[in-house]
Amino acid sequence: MPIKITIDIFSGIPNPVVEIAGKAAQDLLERLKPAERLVADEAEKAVTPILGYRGLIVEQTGTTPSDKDMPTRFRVSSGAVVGGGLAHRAADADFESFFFSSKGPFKKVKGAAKLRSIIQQEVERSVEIRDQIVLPTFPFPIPLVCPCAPLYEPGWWNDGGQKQHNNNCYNYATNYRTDTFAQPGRAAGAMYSALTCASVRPAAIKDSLDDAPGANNKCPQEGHLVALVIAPNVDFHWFRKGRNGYWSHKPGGTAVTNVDNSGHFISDPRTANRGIYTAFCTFMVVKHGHIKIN
Amino acid sequence: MGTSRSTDRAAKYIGGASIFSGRPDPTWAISVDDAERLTSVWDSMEPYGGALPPAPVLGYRGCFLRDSSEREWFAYGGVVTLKTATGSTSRKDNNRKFEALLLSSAPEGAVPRQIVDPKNLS
Repeated sequence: MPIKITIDIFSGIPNPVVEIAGKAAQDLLERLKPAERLVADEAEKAVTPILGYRGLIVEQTGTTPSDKDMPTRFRVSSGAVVGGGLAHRAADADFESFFFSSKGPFKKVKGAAKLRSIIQQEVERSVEIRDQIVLPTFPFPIPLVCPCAPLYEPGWWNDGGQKQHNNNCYNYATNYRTDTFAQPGRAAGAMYSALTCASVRPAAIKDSLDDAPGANNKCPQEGHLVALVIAPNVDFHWFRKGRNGYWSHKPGGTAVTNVDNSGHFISDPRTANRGIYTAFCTFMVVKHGHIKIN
Repeated sequence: MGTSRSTDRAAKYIGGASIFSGRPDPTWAISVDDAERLTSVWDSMEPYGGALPPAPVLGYRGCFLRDSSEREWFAYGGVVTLKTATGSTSRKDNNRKFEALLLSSAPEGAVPRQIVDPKNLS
């Protein structure tokens, strides 16, 4: 039964494909029989996607495989065979050199003569690249500074329409969508009467936010931390602390962001560049399900 | 310019500024005469193809003129961008003339002068 070999190299245009049948197919599969097992992260490196030559994808395409001992689909990369249960050196570690040589199956590809030298360089380059790949390591479990805090998911708020334009910093900080440009105290019939800390702070408390002036940027045991700042006699603004310990905010009807007026991530709203919101008022805690805003 | 001129005397014009975070941003009615002055300034502007001036995250972020045909002229930092249903085009606002004229049309107190003063824009 035939085998199909796809040269996985291009990004935009289709990859070249070679179809081989009969004894030639069996001979090729013989060269690709698994030898010694790959060690450490060699298998992962062999299949890590890169730009340029990424290997050969071998598929046994007939109803009956040419070689029942070999997987129906696997990848050959830098002398390794990976996939379908394989993570081994190929019996012929120089299979790719043979494949792309003037005597190898690549000669069947249209325009092979022109492509050969380019691909051969790419094959060599890919070996070097794969040697240099440093696979990321993730600490487990991933530490969450504030596990009770809401997710930072700006895309949910930044829809450029209803949600974005009708929800403000107070909605975002409390993680409470009302589509009414919520105002502290309005839901409780006790809206602030002046744009000062002394007026906005008790209004938010009427909405059942818990004042936490001593929070000192530390996450609460329950709920999440928010911060009230004031542009004296002009406006108020709120930030909220996220799971990763950094703060984000939504300036009015504009998009949610996690940077301050200097373009820096916000580790502490007291020290962030807040533009006109020069007065830091207080930290507060939003207990999920407790508050009511409008 | 078909997309810019033709101030419609029957149309309604709204001005506004993007400035607040907690409070709703201020908007105000613009007279047809003021709208004609603004579109006349727009008509005199040169095309602009560069990057739009970055506005701060918090504070004054620009001002706009909207008409009842859903056209919006947004001005900030020396560039005015006209957005219509079919696309947008930007022009250079020398000395922020358009922006200052638009902000000057706001009623007293609508736009806090301590935050943005049209006399000190350019």
